[in-house]
Amino acid sequence: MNGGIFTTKKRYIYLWLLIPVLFYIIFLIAPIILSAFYSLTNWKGGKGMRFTGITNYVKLSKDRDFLLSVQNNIWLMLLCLGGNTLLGYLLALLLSAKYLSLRKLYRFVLFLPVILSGVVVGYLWKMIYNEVPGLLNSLLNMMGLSGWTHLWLGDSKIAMTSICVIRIWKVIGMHLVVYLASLQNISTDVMEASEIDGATGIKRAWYVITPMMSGTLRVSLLLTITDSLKIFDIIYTTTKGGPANASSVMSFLTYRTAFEFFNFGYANAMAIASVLIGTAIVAVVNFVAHKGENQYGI
Amino acid sequence: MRHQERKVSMKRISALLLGLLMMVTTLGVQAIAAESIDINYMCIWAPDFVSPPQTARKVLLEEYKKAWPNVNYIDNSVNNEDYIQKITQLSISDDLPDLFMVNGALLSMLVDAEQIVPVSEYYKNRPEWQAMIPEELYNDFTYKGVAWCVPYQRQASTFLYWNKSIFKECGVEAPPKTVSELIEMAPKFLEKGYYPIGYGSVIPQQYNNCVLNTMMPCYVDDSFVVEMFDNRGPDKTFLDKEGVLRAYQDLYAMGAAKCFNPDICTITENEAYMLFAQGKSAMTGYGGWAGEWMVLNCDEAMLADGNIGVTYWLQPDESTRPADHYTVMAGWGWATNKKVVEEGGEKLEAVLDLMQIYTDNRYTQVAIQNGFTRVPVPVPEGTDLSGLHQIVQDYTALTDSASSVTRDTWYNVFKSSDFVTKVGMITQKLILNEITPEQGVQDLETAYQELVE
Repeated sequence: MNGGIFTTKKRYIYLWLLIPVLFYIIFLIAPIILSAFYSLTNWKGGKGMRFTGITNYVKLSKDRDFLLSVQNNIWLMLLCLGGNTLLGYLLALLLSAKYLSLRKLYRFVLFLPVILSGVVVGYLWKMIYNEVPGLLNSLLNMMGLSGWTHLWLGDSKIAMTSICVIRIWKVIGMHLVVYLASLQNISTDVMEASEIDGATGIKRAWYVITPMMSGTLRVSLLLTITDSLKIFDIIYTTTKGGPANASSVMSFLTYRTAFEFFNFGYANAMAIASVLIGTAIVAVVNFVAHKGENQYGI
Repeated sequence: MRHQERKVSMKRISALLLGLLMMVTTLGVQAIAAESIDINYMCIWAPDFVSPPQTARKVLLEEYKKAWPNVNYIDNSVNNEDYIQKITQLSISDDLPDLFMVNGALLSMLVDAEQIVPVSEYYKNRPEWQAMIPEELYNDFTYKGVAWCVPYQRQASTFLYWNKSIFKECGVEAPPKTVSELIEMAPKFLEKGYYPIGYGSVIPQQYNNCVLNTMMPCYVDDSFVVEMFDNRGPDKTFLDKEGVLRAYQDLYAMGAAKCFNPDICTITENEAYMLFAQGKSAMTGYGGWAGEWMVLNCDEAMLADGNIGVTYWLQPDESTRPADHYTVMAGWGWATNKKVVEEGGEKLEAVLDLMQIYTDNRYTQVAIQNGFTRVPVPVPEGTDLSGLHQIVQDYTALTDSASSVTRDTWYNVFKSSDFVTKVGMITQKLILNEITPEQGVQDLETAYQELVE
């Protein structure tokens, strides 16, 4: 009798579980499978479509624009790792210091860009960087630093770095909040004990706090990596991949190939390649981070 | 008991009445629905966008609504920047509007998908309409030897607009006619803090309006793009390398002489207009539509006393074209969904009527009343244009009197905008002086071979 009720209950549980699973399959798994299928065709949006095998992937491996985009994504990722993870962590340590007044105000100001839309941030910084109205260059001129003025988005040598600065400004607040929450979770006993043992300031931050926050740091690291690989909105609103492809990234090139060149088969190959590259990077970083944690017995 | 029976019969009567009411309502709605026609419509201006052609369109629409009171007009328009993507998505889902705008970039996709019909289908019973539209305008919409859209505009793809006050301040008398003249006068503008030419080409294709369409025919003996098209094939010489090299050398030299604003490759066309409107650049170079933008957006002081001059775009020192040469383009045209044509009947007539009033001689009249002349059916000779702004009058006089006109070619020849983008990228690199002209020619050849193969 009991078994019967249990079976009915179980049946209901499975039935209800089926709904989210179906949603997951329809809206996530199926599009990926379809995308993989289209990547093996020459589909250009019309009715005619031919199976071309791995031709798109072979072409991709030689495509200078795509390789440049991968390179740009990696450059962005490295700079954002420095900015979000390292600078964010240092800021969190600074803002958790009890002697610092107006800490809440600083936290608020640093978190503010997080709630802004990427498109708004892009247009905002375009006004800061561009020649007209050229807020940054005007400021530098006013400060007597006219030698430092640049064509921040128009110079292909520094366009990508300028975009990295925008990205860091946009998301550093989120990493800061995660770090601060983690810092607050460190027991006061540990802090007091370390103080008694003579660990203060930088020593305490390095030998006590950092190892205890390794889990949070790893999350921040992975978030930064995935975030850098997905970037689109800021590129679209500031440079549209220019000048001369200098700031093109994988997502933007995929979008352009699909919706400007109408080469959907090739764009799907780009999308699948981007996912594979992203997954490989995340897997390697995750593996290294785990290994580091185990090594130190944390 | 009797009370209960009465209650039941009342219920029955009520139910009967309710049923009857529902039937009558349904029949009534069906009758009305049978008479009304839904027309889904999309153009490159969202309903709240302000521009002279948009105003003219609204005027004509009111007239149309009077002639077709049973048409339910549904405007799903989005602005130019989003339009191509929107139509692409609708094409993929086979859900195109009943009437919509098409340009060369969209054409091959729609034709290959068999979603639009040849333009001859529209003109079947309307020969007078067909007779009004100049043949040269179908160039933008010809694919596989067939024209697929009714041209909506007839305009110069690139003219030079110049600010006379800035010229006076810098001691320059007249706008440059040649690249050398521009390079020579550039330092005078730069010295006073002005960019000689304000231009925005964050979308690399924009260069092509100016470079491929207007300048190239002046460097090579035949039309640059047509030559590429005619000679396409892996074993054939695809272009006049010497002519292209000279063109690229001039572009490189203009970049080196700082003839453009330095952020040319990262700002949009509208942002370039702003440079000009704010008096930061002495000149700008866009098509006929730019003059209308200026009339709407420049302040009165700048527009006063014919302060903004219009002239033909620059030419090489040794040009194959006369000085008064320009390239004519339609840019956008109208098409209907193939399903509407197949369905035929009253809806097709309604859609064609709407398409016709946006392109025929009535449109020309309304356009003049609203301050512009970039219309497919030419302005009749002797028409009084004194009501138009000076810029538009000058522009019209230039287009009417030009001794040499090249037809726009790149849209209809190069359906692959991947290639057109690559050409634009080469131009960007040349203006930024990141590659040499020789490297530019080589990159162009590589891009062309990729296209052909």
